[in-house]
Amino acid sequence: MPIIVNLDIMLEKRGMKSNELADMVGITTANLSILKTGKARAIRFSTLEAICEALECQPGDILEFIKD
Amino acid sequence: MKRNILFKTLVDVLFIFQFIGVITLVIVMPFGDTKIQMIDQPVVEWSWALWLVLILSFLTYIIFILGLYHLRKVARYLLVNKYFDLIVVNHLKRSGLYFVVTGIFSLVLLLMVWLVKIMTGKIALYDSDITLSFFIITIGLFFIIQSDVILNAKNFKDDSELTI
Repeated sequence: MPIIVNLDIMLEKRGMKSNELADMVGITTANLSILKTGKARAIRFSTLEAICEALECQPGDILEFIKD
Repeated sequence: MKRNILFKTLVDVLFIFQFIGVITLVIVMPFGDTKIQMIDQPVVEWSWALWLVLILSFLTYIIFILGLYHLRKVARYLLVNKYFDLIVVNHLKRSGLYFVVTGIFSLVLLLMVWLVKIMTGKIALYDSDITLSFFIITIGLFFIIQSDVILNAKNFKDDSELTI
């Protein structure tokens, strides 16, 4: 899929762990792992909003489009 | 759950009865005292056309049992609540396909028997019942469509589960 999720990079920049982010966003660590590994088929605006709020970033910082 | 158990039991019973039927046919037929119900003629007097009817009947019977076999597989998965599994989709589609072929073959058989009766002058008005053949074709087509529906449902379920 040409959409890349850069959640790992943002987590490292903010010095935050996955389980902390999962708690703040209100999703399970398993779902966050699906998102991080790029296995997710879609992301809800509400989840994206919560992630952006927790990581104090823009959606573009997390999602990236790379043409195949 | 009770409906699933009932469904599995009925399909199992039907399959076993049909299987016994085939075995009986194989054992009894060579002794020569069997009659084809629609023809009412002893085996020794059969023409080549009637033998063709017999072979096609036997083939249809086998195909029908194969359809039941795949339906049994579906029933087994439904029993453990695995509704949206690719195995269910594949077996349901195959079952439907076999039932459609069974229905078409039985229609051909009825036509052949009808032709034999015309040739022997034993034809009667409303002699053949084609309703059952059409019903089997309808059921087969429904199974094929249903397998597509389950496949779509599975994809929607996967999408839903992988939406974070």
